[in-house]
Amino acid sequence: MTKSTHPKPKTDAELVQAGYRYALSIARHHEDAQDLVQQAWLKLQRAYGKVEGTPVLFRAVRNLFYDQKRRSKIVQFEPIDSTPEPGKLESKGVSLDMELVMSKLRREEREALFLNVVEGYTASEISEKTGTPRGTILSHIHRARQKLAKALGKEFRDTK
Amino acid sequence: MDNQEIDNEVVKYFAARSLSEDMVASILKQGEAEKEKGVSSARNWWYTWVPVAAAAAIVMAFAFQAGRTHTTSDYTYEVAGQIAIRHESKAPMDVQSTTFEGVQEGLDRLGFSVMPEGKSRLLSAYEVIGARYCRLEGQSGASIQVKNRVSGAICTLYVASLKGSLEDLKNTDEHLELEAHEVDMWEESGRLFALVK
Repeated sequence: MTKSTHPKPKTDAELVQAGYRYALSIARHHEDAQDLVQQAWLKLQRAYGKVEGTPVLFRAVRNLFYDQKRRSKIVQFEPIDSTPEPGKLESKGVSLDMELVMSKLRREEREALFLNVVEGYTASEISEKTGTPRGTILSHIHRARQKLAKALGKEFRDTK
Repeated sequence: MDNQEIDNEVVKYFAARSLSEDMVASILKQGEAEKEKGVSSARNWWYTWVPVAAAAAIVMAFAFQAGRTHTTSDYTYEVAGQIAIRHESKAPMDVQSTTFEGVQEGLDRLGFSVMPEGKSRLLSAYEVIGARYCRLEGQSGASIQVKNRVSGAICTLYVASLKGSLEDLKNTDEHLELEAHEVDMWEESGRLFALVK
């Protein structure tokens, strides 16, 4: 198994940001991701008095997300203002293309891509965290890359 | 466009998404308050519950005779939480072995058996990887790393002798849902077992 090279956050603030970005990978919307990481952080502080690192925080965020999803009996409609404004996002260095294509990925694909590419977890580690077979994780990552390349109007060359 | 180019775009995408400094500061501040609530509720709970505890003792004595039922105590959750933290610490193993016998032989300073006698249906889903010495509530224990045969998930089977404050967990047989883990905890022949998933 390839040794994981994911960078470990040094401060609590960096940990919260990492948790927010992971929440964003599964919840998509900024407000939902913000609520998830906040609730997860507070629950862990109350239960353990500390947040040991990203594995614990990510798991708490994930459990909260799926708990809320199971309990929700209301169909969630896309808010009217969810379509990103070009000027707003591009000023933060996020291209509109990327924003739109990331929104078209399935949640599982976005999550696997985030954990592998941004956090540096191996497919085996992601499989352990999500309870999804390793082969399926590899498929999610491969399909996500294919979709991104296609949506960005480029030909995809799998170099791994 | 190859993998590296796509990955660079993904990293840039997420790097540009962040919470405001004010929001992060607010979450951290609220977290400190929650931590204090957890500590003070553990420290002061008995002030509130002394008269109730007396009545509860009578009810529990009656319930024991009638067919015992019990509620999971705060201490059970506290111990489960501590074991879960040890599971997450991912400290290196003192012994690599695929059998309980090998673990027993490797942890020769332990002083008690790590061999489970019951819960065979639960434990049959796991294979042993290794183990290390550990301490819990002042008692020596073994943290045995096990792997789920189906999902491949790495879990911890914690074994400790039921001495000292751990004696309060005598007759424990619980499934606990913590914030970030599930823990099956049970007592067997004077030893505490806890499987952290």
